[in-house]
Amino acid sequence: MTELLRVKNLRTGFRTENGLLPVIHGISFHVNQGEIVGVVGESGSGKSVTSLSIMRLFHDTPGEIMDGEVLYKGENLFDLTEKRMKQYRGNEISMIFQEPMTSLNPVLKIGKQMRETIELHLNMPKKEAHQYAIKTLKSVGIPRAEDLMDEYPHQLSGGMRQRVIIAMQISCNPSLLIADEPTTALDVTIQAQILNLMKEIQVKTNMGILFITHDLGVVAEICDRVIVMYAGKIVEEATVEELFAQPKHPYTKGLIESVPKIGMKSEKLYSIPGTVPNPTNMPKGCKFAPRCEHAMAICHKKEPALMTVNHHATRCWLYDEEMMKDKQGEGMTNG
Amino acid sequence: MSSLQSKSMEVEQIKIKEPGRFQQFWRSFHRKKPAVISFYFVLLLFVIMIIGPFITPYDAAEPDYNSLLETPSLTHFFGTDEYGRDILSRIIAGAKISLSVSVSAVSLGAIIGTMLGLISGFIGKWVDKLIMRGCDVLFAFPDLILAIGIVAILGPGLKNVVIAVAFFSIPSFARIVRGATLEVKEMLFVEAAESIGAGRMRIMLKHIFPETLPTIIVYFTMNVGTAILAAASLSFLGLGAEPSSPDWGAMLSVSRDYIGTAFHLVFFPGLIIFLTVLAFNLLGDGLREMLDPKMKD
Amino acid sequence: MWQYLVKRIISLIPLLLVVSFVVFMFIHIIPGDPARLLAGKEATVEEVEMARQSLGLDKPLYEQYFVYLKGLLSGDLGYSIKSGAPVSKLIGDRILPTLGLTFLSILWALIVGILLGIISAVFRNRWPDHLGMFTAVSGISLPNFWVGLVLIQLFSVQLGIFPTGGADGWKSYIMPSFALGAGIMAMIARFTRSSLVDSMKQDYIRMGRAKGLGSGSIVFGHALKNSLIPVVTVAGLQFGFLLGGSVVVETVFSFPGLGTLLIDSIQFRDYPVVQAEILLFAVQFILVNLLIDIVYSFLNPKIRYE
Repeated sequence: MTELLRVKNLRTGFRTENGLLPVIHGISFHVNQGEIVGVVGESGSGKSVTSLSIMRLFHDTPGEIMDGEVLYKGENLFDLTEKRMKQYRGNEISMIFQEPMTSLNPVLKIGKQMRETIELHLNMPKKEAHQYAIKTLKSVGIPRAEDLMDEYPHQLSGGMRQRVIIAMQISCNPSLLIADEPTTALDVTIQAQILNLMKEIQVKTNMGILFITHDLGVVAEICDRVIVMYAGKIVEEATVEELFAQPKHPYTKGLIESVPKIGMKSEKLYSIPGTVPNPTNMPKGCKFAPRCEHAMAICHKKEPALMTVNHHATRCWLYDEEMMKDKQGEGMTNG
Repeated sequence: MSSLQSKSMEVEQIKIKEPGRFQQFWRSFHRKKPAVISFYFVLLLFVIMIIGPFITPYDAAEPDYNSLLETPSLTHFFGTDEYGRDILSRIIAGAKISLSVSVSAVSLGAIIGTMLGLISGFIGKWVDKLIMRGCDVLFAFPDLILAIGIVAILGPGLKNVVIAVAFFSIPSFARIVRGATLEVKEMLFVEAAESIGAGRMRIMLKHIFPETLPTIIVYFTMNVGTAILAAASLSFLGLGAEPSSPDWGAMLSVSRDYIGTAFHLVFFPGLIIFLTVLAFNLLGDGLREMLDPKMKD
Repeated sequence: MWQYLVKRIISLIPLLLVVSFVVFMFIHIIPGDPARLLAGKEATVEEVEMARQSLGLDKPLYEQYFVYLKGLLSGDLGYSIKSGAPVSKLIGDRILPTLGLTFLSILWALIVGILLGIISAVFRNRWPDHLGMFTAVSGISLPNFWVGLVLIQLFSVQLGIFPTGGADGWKSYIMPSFALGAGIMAMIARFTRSSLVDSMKQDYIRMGRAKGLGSGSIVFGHALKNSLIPVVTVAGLQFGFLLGGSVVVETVFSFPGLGTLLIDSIQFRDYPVVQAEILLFAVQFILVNLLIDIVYSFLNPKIRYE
């Protein structure tokens, strides 16, 4: 499998009155061709900022990339000029956002918004782009694509708008698609349809997808590999099967426990106590320690490192100790 | 981020909580340079308004036929007018007229408008409809036309200018306060107060009014600027202050005859009107940004 | 949409009725005998009585109002005390120069205001923005009569480029429309800026960037249209400011329009003219806002397609 995207030690911050405030604290991961990688975490864990960093989409926002590399097909996107970067966006790397209701321009017709990308990246004249747009709309399962071209976004339902956005973003055959909570704002039935659609497209085109969500149920359904983020850091990374079978980090366990299961009685759903710490007020040591039921003295003092055993990475002292125990156990007799 | 840095931020956060709301407000206000300069300028104007008679270099009303229409010089910084009166002294004397007319007009409009807005928003139903339709009718007349009409009815003079200017500020205050009242009413504590059985009047005065106060203050400041312009316009049209009085608008009205011969008669009164209105507008902008985060860009 | 428009127009009728009633009451609110006011200062007792009867001032108030309203609808605005001419003719003679002046003012104010607003929004929080917005707040604070006088001193007295007043030829429109439009230009600039800055924060802008669009397409192709829709409404509301300002600016330039007619009539106590003019200004303002609503509904697809 060829590697499509590699993020190396990414650090991103927000400009505030008191200077640059880091919110992503050096994360590294990769996405292969034809692979769907999930990024999960609660809101405030830095998932969306990560995706915006890859696309360098911090115009008119206080966001700023501080350090690191984003290698796309081996080329560091952070070295590109804005002019070059524009040729990547929507063409090589596309992005779908959470809010289908507001992601389309309310005063422009669907047709114009569809054509825009095609004319820009595929250098097609207007007429040809029009036909191509209709073809793309049909390919994402929109039946009356011709009529739709002349309609305004407010005339469509949320699910239909998200389909239009997906069509728009895959129209130039990108190799990488970043989907930032693409189904969160939709009804459950529509959610399933959109997920199926994305899976279908992915199989057909063999593109890589970075799928950002807070919903582990969605991850189980669609992803091959999962990255769990907490407070701007990766706390666990494993394949989907491994993660659900053997979650290691207490945070991941908490997330899995808080997914509602079929056949569950009216018991109260588990939720992790507390909230993600504010970037201005990060706890010392492990960032999750204040909310962790297994927290030990060391957790509050020193931050654990991300350690990988058999392709399963975890950032937690619990496993560090186990490993230490194992090491000690080798030289000792069991009592 | 190093832990040291985060530590210092923690300390900073705690520190901010300590001083009262006013100090906090004052501190962030001082970051906005134009608003701060404007604030001190307005303050200076009010001081001049009070101590004006004691600091004017010449008598503002006494003619001096030995120095008619003199251009600005070291003896008369802003020159003299057609009766030889010192223009700087007249501008200082005029500050009192301009400020008192505009501030009292806006106060009058604000008081009536605020009361109407509170009643309208709080009681609702037909009372609300009646008051709002009344505002629509007032809004149908362009501000200055309404003021000119009122002065046409009541006759020229500063007292009537105050009434006229107050009149056109009523509907905007009423609308803004009504909107704010509706918003506050939605909030829980009013419901809570109502369930405790607090009287309506009490709820309006003790709970809703203080919440709407920031909006009123911002709007008041901005309206003083508008009022100064309107009052000066009326005086300029000969519907306000007596032509012989040192009112800024009246001075400009008289100066029209000397354009081409003594431009300083035109220049200085107009400049001071401009600077005063500018100060009130910049101050209003600064206050708005701080007190009403919704209106920020 | 037609339904919306019809509704909007019908809802104006009560407002127009109330406004006309308020203006009708004008002559009755003024302290003194309306018949004497309308007959003029020098009228004899007999003349006053004749005026009372001929104008129907001895009838009950509501009946007088209906007569007044009927007159309005047939274009009868009464007669001037000063000249005895029909008020409608006096107004007819003056309305074109004023409309021309107002139109020119709003035209340049819109063009310059929107441009200034765009520049400020694009260079947000940098020096062009600060400069633009300082220009704007200054424009709002400038007394238009002072601007007029300074322009006369500069361009008429010293440079001799433009005439000091009157309405003969296009040259005499330049300075008044500059003085009149400056305030509105400034307000439009401020509003365009904040509206555009607001649009630039919307999700569809980020979406546009993610599609690979450049800043030019983002601002002009996506954000501007959304921002200009509210600017249209604001321009309509500010039109009242323009109507009021025209009275002052016309006075500065001795411009033969409705404004100077109004001030002359007030000074002469020519009440029928004053009354008719105030009504005319209010109706103009109401109609312009109706027009703005129509334009707005055309620009906004959400209303257009309902």
